[in-house]
Amino acid sequence: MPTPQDAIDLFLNAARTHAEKSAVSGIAGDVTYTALEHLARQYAALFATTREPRVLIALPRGKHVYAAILGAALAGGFYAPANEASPADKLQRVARELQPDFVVAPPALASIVQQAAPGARLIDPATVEHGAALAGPGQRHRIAYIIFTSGSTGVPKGVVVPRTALNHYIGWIHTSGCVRTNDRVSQFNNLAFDVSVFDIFGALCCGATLVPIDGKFDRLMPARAIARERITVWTSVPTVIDLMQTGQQLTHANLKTVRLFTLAGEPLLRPQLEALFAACPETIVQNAYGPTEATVTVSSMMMTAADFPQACEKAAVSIGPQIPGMILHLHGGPHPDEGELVIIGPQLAEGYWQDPERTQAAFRPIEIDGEMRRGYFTGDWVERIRGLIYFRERIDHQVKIRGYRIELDEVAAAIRHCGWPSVCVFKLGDALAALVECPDGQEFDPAALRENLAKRIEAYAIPEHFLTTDRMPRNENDKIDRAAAKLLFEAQP
Amino acid sequence: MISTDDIYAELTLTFRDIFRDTRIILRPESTPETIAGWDSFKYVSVLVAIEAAYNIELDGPELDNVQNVGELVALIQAKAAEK
Repeated sequence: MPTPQDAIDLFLNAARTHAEKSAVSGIAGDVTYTALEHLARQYAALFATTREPRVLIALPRGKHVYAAILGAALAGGFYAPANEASPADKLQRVARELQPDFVVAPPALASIVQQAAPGARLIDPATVEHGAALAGPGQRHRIAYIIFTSGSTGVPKGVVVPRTALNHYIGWIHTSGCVRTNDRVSQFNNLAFDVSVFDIFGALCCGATLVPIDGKFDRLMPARAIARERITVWTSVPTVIDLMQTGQQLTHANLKTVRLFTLAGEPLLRPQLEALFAACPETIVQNAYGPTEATVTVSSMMMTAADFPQACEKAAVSIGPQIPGMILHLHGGPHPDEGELVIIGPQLAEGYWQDPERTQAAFRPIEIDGEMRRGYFTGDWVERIRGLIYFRERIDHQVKIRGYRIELDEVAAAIRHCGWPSVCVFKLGDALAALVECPDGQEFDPAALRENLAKRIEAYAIPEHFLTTDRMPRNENDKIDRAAAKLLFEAQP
Repeated sequence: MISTDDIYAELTLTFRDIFRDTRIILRPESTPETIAGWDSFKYVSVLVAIEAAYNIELDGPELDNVQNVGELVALIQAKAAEK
């Protein structure tokens, strides 16, 4: 496989080839490739005053955030995104870990962030467009970006993604046809969620048009935004499909322009897939899987309305086979088709920011075909059925109850099979507890559920406590918030 | 024109039904922070109910500026009057 091209060079090429085409489009107006490149160079000129600048960006979706990302790279530095909607304390924890040279954020927010990084220079986006622009091809740092994820100790974990990994991933997005020049690509995901890398670089590196979905209403009613903006490539967590259903917007009239839905970040469930294909039978749905530590996604399951049932042998839809260039190895299972998923290949992160201990624990040598390779041990237990990989559970979701080893995700999958698609199972004291999402009007009968569960799982794995909630607590990336779910239980008298 | 009192009364019933909480009392200054259990799914359900009840279509920029229930009621009144 040829060496993938540098993502920033690809953007510069796209800006030359598609100079007057819209790079960014939406309610805030259109920005041509020429204008976006100029703005990126203005940011780069500011950042280039420092060698290898670390740039923390906390801006709403739009031209400034994309220009700042590109500008950091052109200046020979790297970016770390922060969700500008996060609580101030969380933003400060990220800033404390990174100690950025620059903070690009609205002034009020920037000064809060700066309290944790007093050496950082604040950049107000409103002032950048009056500045000078960096000329030439610029420089490149070996790091592309650092994305901070929640650490179990409360200190954010910075995943350091090298430029070579980003380039490989962007190369795949284009060779696989996920994004093409004529596409209008949604930018719905928050910046600190690495699926945003698919949106931003996927679109801007091939001359497609990036469409930020940032307004409060658009984020509540995304299908209407899809129709208005004529989106052709949509990317989000699968829960957004549920949101569209709740808003009665999952219709062909709204979604007919979308040729590819990419769903990632949490298990995709068959009912979500069925609802999407019922509304939009001619579209393609991609279920993509990958940890931040392996650069966004490393597997891909492409499905049509005709063939999707073949990827639905388990409660969660198959995550598919690996993308070209990556190896997905199943380690430590009872047979070669079951085990912990270990990822090997060019998309692996360098490790965790200034945390060699944690890096060594997660990125370890593993023998593949007689050769020692560096692998990322995902902590995800998976199985392979007819060549397709299915996520089963998180290894760290294994608990012991009265001497029995129980897989929390296996229990959750069994509850999903019984007709409750959104569920969170955890250990509460010496027993198992399950929080079950029970939408309006749906009756929940714990005795009936226990009876059904007894047909699928051992008696000792049936939760002792059930609690229902109208809506499962979710974090800012729309993933189930296990800590908040547990708090709901603990708040019970 | 529909009176604001009528809209508050209708909206209160809608919120109580969707949030399944008969104790909800809407005030002009009510916000997501003051209504227990507020999340994006419930907000979407409220919007869908409003559109159906008043036969109006809400859209992005006007709703993005809504900061509290008082502004939501004013928006409903204005949209209903446009018909």
